Amino acid sequence: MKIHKDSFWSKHIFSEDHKTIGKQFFWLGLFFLFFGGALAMLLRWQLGYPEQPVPIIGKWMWPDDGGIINPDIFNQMFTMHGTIMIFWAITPLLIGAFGNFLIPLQIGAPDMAFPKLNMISFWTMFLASLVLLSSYMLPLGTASGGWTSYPPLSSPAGGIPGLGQTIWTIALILMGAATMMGAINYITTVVRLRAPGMFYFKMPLSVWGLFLASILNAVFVPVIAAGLVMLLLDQTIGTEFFIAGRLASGDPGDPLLFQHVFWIFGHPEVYILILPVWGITSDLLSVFSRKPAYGYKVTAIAMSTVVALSSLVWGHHMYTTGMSPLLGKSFMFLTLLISIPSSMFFLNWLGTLWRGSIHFDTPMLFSMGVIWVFGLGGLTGLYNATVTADIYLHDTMFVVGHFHYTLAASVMFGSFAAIYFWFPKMFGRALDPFIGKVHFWGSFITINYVFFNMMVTGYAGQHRRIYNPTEYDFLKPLSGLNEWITIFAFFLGIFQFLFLLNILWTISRSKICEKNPWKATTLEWTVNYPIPHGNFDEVPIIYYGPHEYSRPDIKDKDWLGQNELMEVKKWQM
Amino acid sequence: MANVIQRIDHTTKTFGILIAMVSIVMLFGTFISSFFVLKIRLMSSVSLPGNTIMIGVVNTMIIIFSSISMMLAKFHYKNDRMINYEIWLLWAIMTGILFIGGQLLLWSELVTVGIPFTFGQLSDMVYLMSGAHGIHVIAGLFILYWLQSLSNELISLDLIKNVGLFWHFLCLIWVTLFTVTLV
Amino acid sequence: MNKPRVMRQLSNRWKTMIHAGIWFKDPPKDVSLDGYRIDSVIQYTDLVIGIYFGIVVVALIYFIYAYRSSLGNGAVYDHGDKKKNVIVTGGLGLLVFCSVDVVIETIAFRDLREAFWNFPKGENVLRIEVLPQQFAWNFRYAGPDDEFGTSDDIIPTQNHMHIPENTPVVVQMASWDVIHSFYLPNFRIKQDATPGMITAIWFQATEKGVFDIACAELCGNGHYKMKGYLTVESKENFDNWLIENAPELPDDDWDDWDDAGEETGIPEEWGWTWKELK
Repeated sequence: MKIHKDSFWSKHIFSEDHKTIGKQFFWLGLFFLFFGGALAMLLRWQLGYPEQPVPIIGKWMWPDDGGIINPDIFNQMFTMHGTIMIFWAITPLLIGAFGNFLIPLQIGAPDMAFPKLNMISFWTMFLASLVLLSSYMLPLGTASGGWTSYPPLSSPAGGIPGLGQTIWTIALILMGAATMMGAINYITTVVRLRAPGMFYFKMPLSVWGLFLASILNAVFVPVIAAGLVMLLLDQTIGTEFFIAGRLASGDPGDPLLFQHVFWIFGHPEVYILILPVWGITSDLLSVFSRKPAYGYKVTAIAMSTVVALSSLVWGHHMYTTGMSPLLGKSFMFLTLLISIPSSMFFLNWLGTLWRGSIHFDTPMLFSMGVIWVFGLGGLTGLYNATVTADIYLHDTMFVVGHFHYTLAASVMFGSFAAIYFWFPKMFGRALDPFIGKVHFWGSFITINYVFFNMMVTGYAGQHRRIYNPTEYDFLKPLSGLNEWITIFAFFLGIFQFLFLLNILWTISRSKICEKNPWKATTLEWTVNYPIPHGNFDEVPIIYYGPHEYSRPDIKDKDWLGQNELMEVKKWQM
Repeated sequence: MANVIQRIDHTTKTFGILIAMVSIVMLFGTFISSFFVLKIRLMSSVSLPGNTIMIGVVNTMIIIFSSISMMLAKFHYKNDRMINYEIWLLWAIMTGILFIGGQLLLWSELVTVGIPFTFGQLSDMVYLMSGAHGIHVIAGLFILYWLQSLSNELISLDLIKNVGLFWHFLCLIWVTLFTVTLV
Repeated sequence: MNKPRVMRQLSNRWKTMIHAGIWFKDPPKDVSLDGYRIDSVIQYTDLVIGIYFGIVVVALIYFIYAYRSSLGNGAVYDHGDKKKNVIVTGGLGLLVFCSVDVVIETIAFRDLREAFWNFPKGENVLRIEVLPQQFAWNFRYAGPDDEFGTSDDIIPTQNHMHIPENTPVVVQMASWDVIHSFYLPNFRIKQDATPGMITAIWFQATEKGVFDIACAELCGNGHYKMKGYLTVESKENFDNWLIENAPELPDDDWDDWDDAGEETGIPEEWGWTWKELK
């Protein structure tokens, strides 16, 4: 075993240890999660109380407007909210932090396959973050073309002043490079560095989820990278790949080309974010039901099927662009096909609970929360997949509510479950269960109210990305509901501070907890905190699958670690 | 459990390079499909003047030659002829640099005949694709230079194979891109 | 009981607030011929996913209740990977697919074939060209010669579109600058207008009134007030309105007209030959 001698810099800053890099991603993601959340609160203020001064901070933030958020600022805020939450909060938290932390530990590897690349990946991501945040220094503000950033609006001719949009593109290209490096690392690690006996169908489902997400990352992030490079040239040098109509000086380019490129990446991206959650939820439900994950192989294969299908359905984001009927129908059919594998692993989640012995620890509450919110989020996708219903619902708050159910509610609950569950392994201390439960119930009630009613406002016709819904007569009856959503959103925000306090308090105050507080079977629980650089003293050998709970043939405990050789007693044979 | 190899060996590195190559294929695949989409939309094709095509053909020859040099370098290393190995590796680097020079010549020729950058979408795509490929070739040249500067003990056949794999891949990408531009 | 006035106001305020927060909101009134199709497919989906989600919730709550660890029953060691289990899960997955997805798909394809992608043809179809710009709507009617892009085209005031009742209307649109989306909430339709390409949609009004036209695709900081008015009126009123809005200047006076256009921000000389749909 190689002994790593580390100085402060190589241990905490430019570390090549996957656990340290995972923690770095964790703090980065957490910072941006709260940053994006704060933007969401301000957005909700404007939608609930249109053109009223923001209390407390308004006068200080926008003195020129008397504390009122103006339309430019509003557009910048939802653009940055979307961009930050998707690329800088969820991706680092789930794929960056838990991908890094869990994959080597759970498959019994000493580290990532390419530790140096891993380190470069984080610092590229960090650079991308600085670039993105630097756009707040610009006199004319940040990007404001939406997270989709469709040209021609996002090109200089489209009317967004300043450099914000260009900085946004550069930041995203850097982020894409970081993601690709991470993906190469994860895939290689899973394929090549599994411990002896860790066959694909003995990997925990979390690793399956992260592995499949990495495959999608490696394949589809380059697609958007190519699109963004073309967009960047449109923005800076003056090419006209995506510019047409009055704004084009020569032959017209193709604005729809960018949309296609964006969604060829964008739809798999949705699954990149949700796949780790599916895996984590499947594992955690099994741990806290003290029962093997129901239909483990079916879940793994169903998730892989969704991955394969996800690359064929991007067109359902573009039904209203004037798509040819044949294409529209094909995309609808392919999209609906996804419901078969999804409902299969969803049923498996319920199957895991069935005849289990359910312990209501905080991670379990959040995992069961995922069943609820993902159930709703997945089912409401049906409306958007339907070409006719989507003609009405496209670009309304219904879509916003739907993808917040899948991407915000499900993914956040999945991340919270993961954080509560693996915190003892990451930081050696268990988060406070009482605050955790308050955090869960508070978040669960408010998040459902907020996102369900977003769908209701969308069904009632409110289109998205509008600064002031009261401009329209048909939206006037919704102002009361919008106000309520805002109130609940604020409570949702307040409950997240409980979570933050819980983390900070636990890290600073709590005692180091035992090695395996949840009595889980996977390999990461066999090592003591702090886990040394190199993880395992000797290469673990795997005998069992990841969910050996409540085996009738062992009497003294209800679980069997993946690398524990069961004592076979004579009288049992 | 011999079927699971838990070592960061050269096969692992080859695998990583293969994944990276998949990503790069997707990158250029997007450029190529965008090129065709724009081509169908504009209902025209890039009409490159004869001499630029000539330069392109010569560049293609050069990069194929560079790829072959790399192959020969590997062959000689395998048969323990270190001098020949170094000569052919040097050839691969020199022809790689020559290729970059040739591409720059191609660009300047394009400008001279009146197809500058931002002239039109299709010629811009030609610039973009050759430029993106050029950046990858420059990166490849750095790797070749690094291989060349390694001392004999650090080199292994696997390492040369991995570097060679990437270098042949870049050659293949250019041949594809050049064909696409001519179609 | 005479409550103080302040109290009464407060409690009324509470009532409206609670009402606003809990009761479902109906979509805007449907005034179109085919809007009911969209409403009905949405209602069908509501119903089936309501049932399925209801089953999930009931199962979840029952499992939480019946299999809680405090009962001390212990879990059953069951991997659920026997052929029987897989067939049951797969069968239930297929059942969901057939009862929800296939039905929705059939309804949607029928509606597309019969209505939304079945563009009306013939004499009585009203054709309108729409050109959104940042941040206004321009409309163009063919005028007496029934051809677009000629000097007798009728161009009403920006943001004001009139159509006759019970007449199929085909709208072709292209954007002047960035991508916009022509959204008629009362007609349940929406169509992106993209620069450099012509897209089309059709609808038919069944009621008179003034309705909102909204832009549904982010188009800049004025996106939220890119608002138009669609007036549905009787055929006679509509014809009168067309005559009122007919270009007053003779054909050879294009220059003056152009200047006027520049001042009001209306793009000069737009309009395209009507693109015949297949």
